[in-house]
Amino acid sequence: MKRRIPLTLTLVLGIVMMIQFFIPHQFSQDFKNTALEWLRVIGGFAFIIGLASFITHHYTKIKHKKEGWAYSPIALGALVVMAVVGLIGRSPNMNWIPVTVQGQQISVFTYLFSNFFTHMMIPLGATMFSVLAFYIASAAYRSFRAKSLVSILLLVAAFVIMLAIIFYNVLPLGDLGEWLLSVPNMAAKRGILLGASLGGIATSLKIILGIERGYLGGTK
Amino acid sequence: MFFLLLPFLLTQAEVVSPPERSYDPGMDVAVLAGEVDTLQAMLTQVTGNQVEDLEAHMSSMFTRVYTIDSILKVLMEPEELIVEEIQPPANVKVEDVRNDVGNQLVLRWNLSPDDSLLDGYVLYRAVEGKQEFKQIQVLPPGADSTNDNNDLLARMIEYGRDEIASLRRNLPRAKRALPKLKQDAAKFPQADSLVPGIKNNLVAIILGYRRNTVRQFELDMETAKRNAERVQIKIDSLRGEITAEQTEVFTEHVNALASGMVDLQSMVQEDLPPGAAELEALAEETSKLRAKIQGTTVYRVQKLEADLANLEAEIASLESMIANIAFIEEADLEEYAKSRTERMQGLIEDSEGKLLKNRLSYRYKVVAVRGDLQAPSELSAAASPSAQLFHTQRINVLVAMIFFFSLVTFFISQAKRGKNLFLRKIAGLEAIDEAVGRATEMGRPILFVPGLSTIGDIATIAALNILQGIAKKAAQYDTPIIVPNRDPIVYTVAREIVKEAYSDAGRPDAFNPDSVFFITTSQFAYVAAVNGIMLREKPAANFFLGMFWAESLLLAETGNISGAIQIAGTDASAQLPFFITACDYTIIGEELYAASAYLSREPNLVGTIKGQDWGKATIAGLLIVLTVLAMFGIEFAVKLLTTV
Amino acid sequence: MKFWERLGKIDRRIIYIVLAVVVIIPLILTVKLPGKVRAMPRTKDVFDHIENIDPNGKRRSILISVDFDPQTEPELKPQLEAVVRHAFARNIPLLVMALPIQGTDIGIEVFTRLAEEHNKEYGIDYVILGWKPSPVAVILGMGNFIEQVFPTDYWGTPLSELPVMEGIRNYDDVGLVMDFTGSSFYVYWVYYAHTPYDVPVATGVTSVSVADIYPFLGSKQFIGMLAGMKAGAEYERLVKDKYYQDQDIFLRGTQALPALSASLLVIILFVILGNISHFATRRKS
Repeated sequence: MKRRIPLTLTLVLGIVMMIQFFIPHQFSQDFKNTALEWLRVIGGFAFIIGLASFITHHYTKIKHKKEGWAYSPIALGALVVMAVVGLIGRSPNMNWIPVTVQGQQISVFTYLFSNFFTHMMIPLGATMFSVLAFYIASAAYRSFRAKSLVSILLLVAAFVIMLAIIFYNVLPLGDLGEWLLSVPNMAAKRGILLGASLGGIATSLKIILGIERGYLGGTK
Repeated sequence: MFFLLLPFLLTQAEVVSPPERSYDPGMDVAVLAGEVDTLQAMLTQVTGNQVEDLEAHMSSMFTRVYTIDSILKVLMEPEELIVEEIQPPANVKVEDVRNDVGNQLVLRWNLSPDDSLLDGYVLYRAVEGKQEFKQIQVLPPGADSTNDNNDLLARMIEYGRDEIASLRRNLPRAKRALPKLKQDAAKFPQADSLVPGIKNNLVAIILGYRRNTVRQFELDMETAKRNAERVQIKIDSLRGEITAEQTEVFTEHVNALASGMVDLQSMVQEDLPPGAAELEALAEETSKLRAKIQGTTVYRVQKLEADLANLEAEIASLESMIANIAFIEEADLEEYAKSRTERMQGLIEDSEGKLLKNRLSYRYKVVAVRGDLQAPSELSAAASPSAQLFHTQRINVLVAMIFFFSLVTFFISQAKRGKNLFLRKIAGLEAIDEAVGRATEMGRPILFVPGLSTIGDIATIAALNILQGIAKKAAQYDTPIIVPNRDPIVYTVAREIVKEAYSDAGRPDAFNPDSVFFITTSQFAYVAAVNGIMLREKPAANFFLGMFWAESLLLAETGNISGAIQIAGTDASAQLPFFITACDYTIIGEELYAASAYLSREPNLVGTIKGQDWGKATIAGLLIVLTVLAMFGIEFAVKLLTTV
Repeated sequence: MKFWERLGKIDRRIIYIVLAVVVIIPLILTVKLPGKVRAMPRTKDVFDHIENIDPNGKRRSILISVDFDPQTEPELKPQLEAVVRHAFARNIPLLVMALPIQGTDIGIEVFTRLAEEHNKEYGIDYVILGWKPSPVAVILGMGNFIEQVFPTDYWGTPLSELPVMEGIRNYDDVGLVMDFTGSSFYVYWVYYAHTPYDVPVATGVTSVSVADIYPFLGSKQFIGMLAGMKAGAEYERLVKDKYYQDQDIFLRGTQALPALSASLLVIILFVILGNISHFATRRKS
């Protein structure tokens, strides 16, 4: 029973949405819009569950003094501060506790929010992103070994592309790099894309028909 | 925002004002002025026979006849050209747009022969059998087709309703706030009576429910004053820099432009316009001269002085706005709210009356307009905007879908009948057991990342299918499993899966609810957290399955540092190279979708894989055949696979 | 033979340090590139297309969509600035917008700075339309009527009051849509601007996304592409050679190129070292 309801819902809605795709009439469009609205509403509720998970996870960490528990109060504190600052500071016509910034009077909450965002969130994200450069170097060093014909080809292709950037004014290298990208790369890409799209359709079909039910937990 | 939007919406709604001219004579006069002034300027800079050359060039330019009709017309037209009659557009055709919800019609007509003289066209529509024509659209000259639909009308109706609702909501609030506002405003005694022009604006702003209107004005005023001070300082410092020489250069440039203008006007009177080619070439020169003027300090000071004057005017107007609030009464608010509500109701009614309805049929006429002159076309044939129950341009999708579905069901039935279907070996999937086994041997946990996408992504679902098997094995061997999530819905599903897996394995008590958790929706913050887990908890096996973006290598390389055995799988082709370099096994693209079939060997699932492969073979075959056909210029081959 | 083995197992921290040094030094010392950057065909395509826009013709404007956030700024800002300089040099009216909200601030910063540098005026030479949510609706709506989506500019001035918007109603008056993005916003422009309205579209992307763009180039859905920081440098070179030969303009991409080249060189060297070790130890075993 616990499994039958979701499976029936999936089957019915899956088929209805499939039929909807072929009907341009107003009632069909209205149905689609309503369905999409429901999706957003449900997503909103799921966020509360996520939040609950976040809080309990860190709470248990603190309670049992697990390794690295000291970071948990920081995470919880950041959650509260950012939520308060964001909720108040981003509401329209907000002017609580005004401060003067570059000749403009804005609420201290707005000020803090934009500062937290531009001077903490963005640099932190950018830092994580830039670590990529170092990881690319070490990963390339470790795994680009000419072990077989295929890996030799990969190695040569990578060298051509990189050298085309380094020797920015040497003619044939750049053109060769361009060719590698626009011919063999594109062919492989389209192949993978085609296979993945069909696989995607088949998986959807399996889900709609209830053949695939692993995502509901268990095949029984 | 609403107030700014309003004039635009209203002009769209009433469409009675004549359309703006798309061709501005002033522009061409300016361009021509530029041309002449450049030559004048060049004359002042050169000497000797160069002057003669230039003068010769100028005179040849003057005597050349116009090559562009429009320029000639513009120069002659403004007053002199009197038109007594205009021809109507002809052959108005209406057609229903197929495959839609039934709210649009496409119109086409032949331009009026006098198109170039027109102000534009006005489109009228009437319900078949009725005489009452409603004005629908105003179009610029040159327009010979349009699409009549309900989009804009629907938006106006929505806007009207929103506005009425907000007035209803805000009126009592604004009334309550008014005494306080008047009290604040009384501190500004400048005004002694209500200025009628300002009144409506103020009432509208207060009705927009801003409790702190006065404070807001004061803030704006402070800002303006501060800006004025800054501008003043800038002006003073720039003035110190200006030398007599600079002033002279500036005057010279300005005079060059001005004298060019005078020359042009006399030229126009004598019917001696310059040629089009020179016009183009010299327009560039003009802009250079203009840039030169703008680059001079004198010009910048002049401009700043204008800015300053504007700021001062703004301050004064803000002051009078505040002072005027003291004269506003509750009755004003009520009256305004009432009249505005009525207006909005009128707008809604008018728009609703104009909506196309898909059971009625309509006739159109297109009227050519120039000033007071009107020339209506003949009525079009009647047409009805019908809604369709089947999208005819999607037949190919339907056929492909039916074909593909029957392939899959066929192979499922084959598999069910016990026919042995071969699946090639997929190393990444084979290695899952090995990885789980290793974690068990080492007594360390398993980390499973179900991608960073939502549940709507098929890769995520495929990953969750694999999670099911892994969690079950982990439960059997009593190996802890960690599943951090980025999407709240995926988190809920993953948690349910792991929990079920434990009870399937007969050990529901062993399930640790804290092992599946939600981290954050922020991409790199999530990565930072997962990397932290890898380095602290040192899982022996890492699974990165699902959809990944830029974070793929950040995760995989950290896992590599921590020494775990790593299996990745994604259909994001751009991320595959990163996984291949940093992980032990990589499941590529559709292999990921095949995983549940491969691991369970359940006939139903294996059958779909087979069907999928045949589908792919069919597409490959079709592509080859259709490409060859298209090479021979056979049109339908191209259209066959086009989807909408 | 222990040396050869060690060569294949260099500690990753050493690689990190070498890379950091090699990236930071050229940026601090502002190393100059020897010789000129040669523009790749895809970059040249974009340049030529903008060269062929007639500032007085029908499709006279360029719509620039700043669809990136600060995280990908280093790669995309050089491209954006070079294209803006090019358009300013040719007096092409520019319409600036953003699909993600962070793009607006980047756009305003770049345009305010470059406009002052090039003596261009807001409202006459360019307009900042700003940002509106839901990309698909925005792109489709602008095909009908730009004012329908953006009744006013970013600061609330009605578009009809801005001289730059004169005669620019929808995509029919736009000579090129230039989208700069670090994610996949380019897909929207292809699907919802190019396909239904047939407006030429080009994109500037980060190097990582380059491989994803080629299918669209093959089908001519993009007229050209700017790929990563190098394309920024290439475009800067093209623009400088044609319009600013005797002027000193800041070439952001060209300046960062030595750091990029050096880091790639380091990667190549390490890969070679790894392979030397691989062959030496394999022969031994």
